Formats: sequence, structure tokens, C-alpha cells
Amino acid sequence: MRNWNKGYLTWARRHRLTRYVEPISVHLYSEVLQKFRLAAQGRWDGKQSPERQRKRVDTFFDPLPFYYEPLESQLVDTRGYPLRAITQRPMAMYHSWNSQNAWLRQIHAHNYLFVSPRLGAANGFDDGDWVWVESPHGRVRAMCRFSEAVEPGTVCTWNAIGKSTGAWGLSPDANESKKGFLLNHVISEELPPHECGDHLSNSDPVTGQAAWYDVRVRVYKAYDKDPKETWPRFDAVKPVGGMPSRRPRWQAYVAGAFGRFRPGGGPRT
Amino acid sequence: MTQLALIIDLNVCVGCHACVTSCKEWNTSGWAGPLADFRPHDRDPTGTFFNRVQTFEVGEYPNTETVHFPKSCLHCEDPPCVPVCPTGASYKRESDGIVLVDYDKCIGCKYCSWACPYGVRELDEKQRVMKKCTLCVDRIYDKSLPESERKPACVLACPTSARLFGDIHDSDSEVSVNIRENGGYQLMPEWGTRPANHYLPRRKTRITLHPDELVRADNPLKKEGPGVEPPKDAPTLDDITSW
Repeated sequence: MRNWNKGYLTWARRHRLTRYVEPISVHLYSEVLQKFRLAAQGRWDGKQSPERQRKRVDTFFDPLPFYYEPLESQLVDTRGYPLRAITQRPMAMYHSWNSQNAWLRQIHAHNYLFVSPRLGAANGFDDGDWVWVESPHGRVRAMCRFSEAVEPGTVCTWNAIGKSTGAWGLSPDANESKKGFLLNHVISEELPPHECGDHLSNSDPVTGQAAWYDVRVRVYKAYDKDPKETWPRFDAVKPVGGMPSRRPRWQAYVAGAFGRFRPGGGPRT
Repeated sequence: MTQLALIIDLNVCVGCHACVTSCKEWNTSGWAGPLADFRPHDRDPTGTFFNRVQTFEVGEYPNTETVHFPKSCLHCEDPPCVPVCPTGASYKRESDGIVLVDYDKCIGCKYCSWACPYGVRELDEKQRVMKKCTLCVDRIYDKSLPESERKPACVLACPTSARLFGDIHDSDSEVSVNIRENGGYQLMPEWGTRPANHYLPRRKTRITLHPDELVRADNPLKKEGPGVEPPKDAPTLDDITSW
């Protein structure tokens, strides 16, 4: 047992981290995946793969890790859509609902498409221009911002900022819906139809993790006639019962309370 | 003479804005509050903040650095905002060097914001008085707080400890040692304002490993000895977690 880290195992058992003082083996070679693969190859007596999935299971259920080009990149025209598009969250925003917070809204009220200046030079748009981000599945109009921190073959934006008109208790002309955008509109739930099926989930074949980062796009300058706001646009979300019909133009918090201004208020020194 | 100040380590700041929101949270309810917001849920929201973070990039891809630069009143030792004030509302305290505004005397004429070369004064559009960082003057002397909490809210909130607070005239203080040994610098010293706040520059961090550090000195297996074996049916982590 010395070669199985016996000291740690007895310590872990004593501190009730594990039930047994038995070796913990990490499987680099996954027997489970190999069983799927054998089934796909017809060399397994148990449950069989559906016929049209055989090739897919045989390929991706490899018992050892391996690299392959993202599935979507294998199925779309990567010359026509040469760029990758990814998202992250800005540091100050934890989630979409943070836009309800008047202070955090002032830090980030809309998002940009971050692109390398080299991409802008090659495609004829400048820092701050309105651009179309187009994938084989749809397109989004957004404002671009040049960044030297973005890899030139990739474009990037913040999610958690763009909102549908009137959503999250914001007024219909809030920056989040006029200038903010979501990349979701260019990402597909399904892979393009191919030999394994017409409606295959756009996700990792083994774990089912959605393949948001696999999307391929092209970026070009918006037309002069395009309105200076993001697209697509939707009808404003109507307020539901219990929501305030009017928001104050001014708001301040004093000692935790949503305070009124005292006339001539301010501290005494 | 005491001169209180903040030291901000640009090598450590990750731009999370915790100092921005904690500052507003403390000060909107305190001596300098309230800090009002205009159009809070509409187009182009705006409001008063004492502390803001500006982010910029240095260099070209792939050798790019993203610098997050927190900015608040620098509490200059020779503050240009004080002599220009026509009512004497803007003043510098002799006892600790903090620059403050007396709202009762301020008429909102903005002379001080024109005089400040750093752009850190903010006119409160609701109360029509000039506001700025107070170094949490209503907190750092509060004897009802434990001594470890008698610091500005931004210093306490910083998750990476990028903000230090202390007396830069005391040569043995933590802030003075950091300025001296880590290359602390002032913003635009050519203006002769002698800002009290200092910034520590970005710098390369290198790790040197010594052979004796590779052996764990506090190995719990050695410290605890054989110990007592729990009963066989005692619950373990395996029983209360699942994955």
C-alpha cells in the first residue's frame, strides 16, 4: 500500500473524508467509454448504439483523451466564417440580474464586441463603429471596441449585460437594450444537418456540455442606413403585477433605507 | 505631522470594482452622504462615486497588459483645490492631512474641480455641492469599531489586498516601507501638488525555490501522530456528498 499513498489514506479515513483505506485510482483510460465504443463497433453483447450514431460513438467515445476540431467547425464553411466568438463576464457583474442594481449599471450599462485592431483594418471598420456579427445561424448588430488583448482570429464580448427591451425592470430605452447585445442569437442549439442526423444537439458528444464556444462568425461594418442600436430587437416586456409603474428620477440610499432627500440635506461638519 | 494616504498596488489590482461599490455603500449613509443616482433604471444612468476604476491596455498583441487603475482623491499635501475655493468650504485638515469639503459652505461653483488636475472631485447634481473621497473620516477614528476595521471601506473590501492605508510621514509605517521598497510613485508630480496617495507599479514576479521549501514542514501526517480511528459506522464525507 505504500505506493498507493497509504499515509494519506489512513489520515483521510481518520478524519472521515473516506470510508475505506483503499486505493483511489484515477482512470486515465475509461473502461466505460470503451464499452460504448465496443458497442458501436458491434463487439459488445449488451445495449447497441442506434445505427446512424454508430460512427459518432465509435469516434468520440475514445477511452483515452484526444483532440479533434470542434464539431461545428467541421460542418460549416470556415472560410466564410473565419473567426471564433467567445464570451466572458465583466469583473463587476456577477449575473444578468446585476443590471437591476443602479450602482453596477453605472459601471457597465452596455457591452462591446472586442476585436483586434488588425481585424478592423482588414475589414474596414474603426474603433467604436457599429458592426454585424454573423454566423451561419443568425446575426447581431453591435458596437465594436478595439483591444490588443484579443487574439486576432477571435472576437469576444461580455455576456450578462445585454437585455431585451423592458426586461429586468429597466425602462425600454435603457442602454442595456439599445446598445447592449447578446451573442446567443448567433449560436445554434443544434448542429447543422449531417450524416448522423438532422437535429443533433450542438454539444460535447460525451458530457453533453453545450458547445457555445464553437461558434464561427464573420464581422463586417454595419450599413449607413442601419439604426445606431443593437439588433435583433423585440417588443418591450410588459411590467407584471407588483412592479412599480413609475421609477424615481433620483434615488439615494441612506443608512440602508431607500431614502428621501432631506431639504437642504447634507452632513453637519 | 501626520499625512494619511492610500497606496494602490497596480501589480495586484484585478479591476473587480469591490472598492467602488463598498466606498459608495459606506459613504452614502455616512458623513459625506447621500450619494445620489440620476436616472437609476433608465437611459444613461449617472451618479456620484468617490472612487472609480479606469481600465486601459498597454502594448500590442501578444505582449499586452491590461491595467486596472483605481482613482480617488489623492489628498495632496499642497492641494490646488483648497486655495481656489471662494467660501472656504474646501479645506485640508492639519491633524491628519485629509482634504474635505464643508457642504454647509459649498456653493457648488466647481472652481475646485477645475483646479484639480486629477479629475477626482464630483459635483452632486442633486444637492449641488462638491463631493469627494473623505478617506472614510467617519470610520477610521470610530472607537466603537475594532481597531482592525478602522480603515477606509475600500481597503477592507479589496479581495487582493491591493490597497494599503496609513501615515506616509511615519517612515516605519507599512505604506512608507512599500513606497520606499516597491517603487511607489505619485501621479503627475510635475504639478507640484505632492499627492499623498501613491501607486505601486506593475512589476515582474519571479519565484525562487529553495530545496528546503520543497519538503513540507507542517505535514499533518507527522504532526498528528497515529490518532484515534473513528468507529466503522461513523459518517464520512463520502456519505454526505455525491457527484
